[in-house]
Amino acid sequence: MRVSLLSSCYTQAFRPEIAEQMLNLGTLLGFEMVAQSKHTCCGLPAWDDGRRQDALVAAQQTVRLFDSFDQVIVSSASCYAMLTRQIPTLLGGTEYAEEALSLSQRCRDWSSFLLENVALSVPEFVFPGSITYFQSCRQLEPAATIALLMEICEAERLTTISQSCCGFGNNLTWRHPRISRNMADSVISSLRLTRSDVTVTDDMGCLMLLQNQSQQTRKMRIEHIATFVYGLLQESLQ
Amino acid sequence: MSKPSIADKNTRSALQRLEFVPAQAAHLAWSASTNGASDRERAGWARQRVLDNLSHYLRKLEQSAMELGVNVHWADGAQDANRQVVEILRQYKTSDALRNHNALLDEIALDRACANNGIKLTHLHPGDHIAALASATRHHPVWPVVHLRAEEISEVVSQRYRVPRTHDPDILASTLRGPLRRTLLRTNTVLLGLDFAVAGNGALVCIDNDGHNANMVALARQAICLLSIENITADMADLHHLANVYARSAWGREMPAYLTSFDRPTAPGVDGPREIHLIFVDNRRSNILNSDIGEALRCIGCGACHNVCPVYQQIGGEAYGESPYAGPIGALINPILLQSSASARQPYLSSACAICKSVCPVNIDLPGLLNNQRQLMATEKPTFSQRLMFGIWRRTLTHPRLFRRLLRVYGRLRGF
Repeated sequence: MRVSLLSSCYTQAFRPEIAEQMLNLGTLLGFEMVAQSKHTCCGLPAWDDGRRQDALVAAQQTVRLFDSFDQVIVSSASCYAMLTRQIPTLLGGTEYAEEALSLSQRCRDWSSFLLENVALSVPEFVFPGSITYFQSCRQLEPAATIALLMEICEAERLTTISQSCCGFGNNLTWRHPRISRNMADSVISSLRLTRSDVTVTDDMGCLMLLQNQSQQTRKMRIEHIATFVYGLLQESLQ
Repeated sequence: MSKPSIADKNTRSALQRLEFVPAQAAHLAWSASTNGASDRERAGWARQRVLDNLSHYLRKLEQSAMELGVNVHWADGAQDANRQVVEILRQYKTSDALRNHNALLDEIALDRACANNGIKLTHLHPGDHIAALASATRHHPVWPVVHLRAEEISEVVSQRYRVPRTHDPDILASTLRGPLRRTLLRTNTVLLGLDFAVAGNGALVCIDNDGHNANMVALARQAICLLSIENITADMADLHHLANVYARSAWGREMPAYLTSFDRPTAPGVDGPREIHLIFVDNRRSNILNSDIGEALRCIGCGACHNVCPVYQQIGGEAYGESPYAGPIGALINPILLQSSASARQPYLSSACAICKSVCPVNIDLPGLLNNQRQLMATEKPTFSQRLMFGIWRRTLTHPRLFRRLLRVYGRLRGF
């Protein structure tokens, strides 16, 4: 089975190591993992901004680039939502309609891919501390990530923060940076209140903004779920 | 458009508390109901069926009201509505009137119109009364002075009524109650913004949680009612359902504490107004209805979307301009309602997080409609920075290395 990683534009530009970790994990699980290096962006920023034509161009390119893969693993929850919800609508009625629908069906978010393909409930693979899962507002299917976290952490040490927005979406960091920063600060205050050892998220936008903004005050550990799982795996292998 | 400024610290922390108090209360009320999803669906359907056949229901309501002896008037815009109100008040030779808590009256700036014509308008709703005393902007449709601290409220009440300062809400409320009730007893004319009107039987309805509408309707001699054209329900069953979902979302109650309904002038010796005027106010609602965002008129003004909107919690109601509608619903309808350059870009006051959609009791797809509005603006009036940004973005989509390099430059500016 040919599996490709669709890493978001932000992953590629700012956190390429996360794409590496995902590829490595996929390879360890025995998949032929391919990083589609020609891919740039799924079109979400343009779609959010009302630039339908621009979003259309990006969506067509994405659909074309990932047409030959059996499964497409998406690194960020917001891209996953774009690929499975918006792109089929956006390209509906065009020559790409079928491919768009097919891609949306072949897309998997990273947590469900991992959960389906690995038996994580081995004793070495348990995180001893407490975890807060910051559920991105774009994460429409959080069940897999929560189930994954519950495999590696006892339920009473896992906190989920949902129905909350970090302030990254809709190009707010560009249009209204002050509002965006304030929103992130307010989320960070809630995260600090949980007193968890680590905060994990599965959205690149939330990750970058929260990591960046939390450094303005007291440092805290915020990680992408792939980084977190990869770290645990490395520890257990040592 | 200048960037909206961040609200001051007190306002921000007050607005953030909305998420923990009314939003939680609403969440509990909805969770306690066994049919939450179908209740929302039914409420949305009850609103949509009126919007789909609005002219039919308007005619039906007009007919029902006229048969019951209500004087019916039509107003195209805010000025027209205010002019008609002032004319009716002049007919009654009155210079004092009471008004209720209602967004439509704020939208058409009735307070200002009355003041300009020498009419003293008193707010009977304690929150609105405090806001008027403090000359404060009302930030929220249900909780008008949510952003004022107890010290500020105590200060304005003690100054106005010459009473010792206190933070005790019971003492503050009873301080206000006395003079407001005396005003109520001596005022004959009331201005009522209606929450709903029932097309089938002509019932005119106000809902609230303090009974001020019931008092006004019982004691008034003349009632001038203003109804925004979309706030019609087909029948009493729809009315009760909508009133109940409103109560759940606005106050976290199973039903409104007070639902005041009246339909006809009363005979001498019976409580209630001897004369009723009903003014249908359009004020660009027909434009909204005929646009891509017609569904927005389903709104029943419960404020649930305000309570959870993280952008609104940072900028407060003032950022939405003259309109009483803030939050996601304000960002959506204000560009059409206000038609000003300042309001045009309000659909961008959103992080598209869609939390508002999950709490809307009438299932308005707020994030989807906001996106429609942004698409319209991006096509009709793209800004220079938008064209530049997305021009570069689009041209580099097929050049991955350049794309990433430029994105990194952008990120450096933003500190990623």
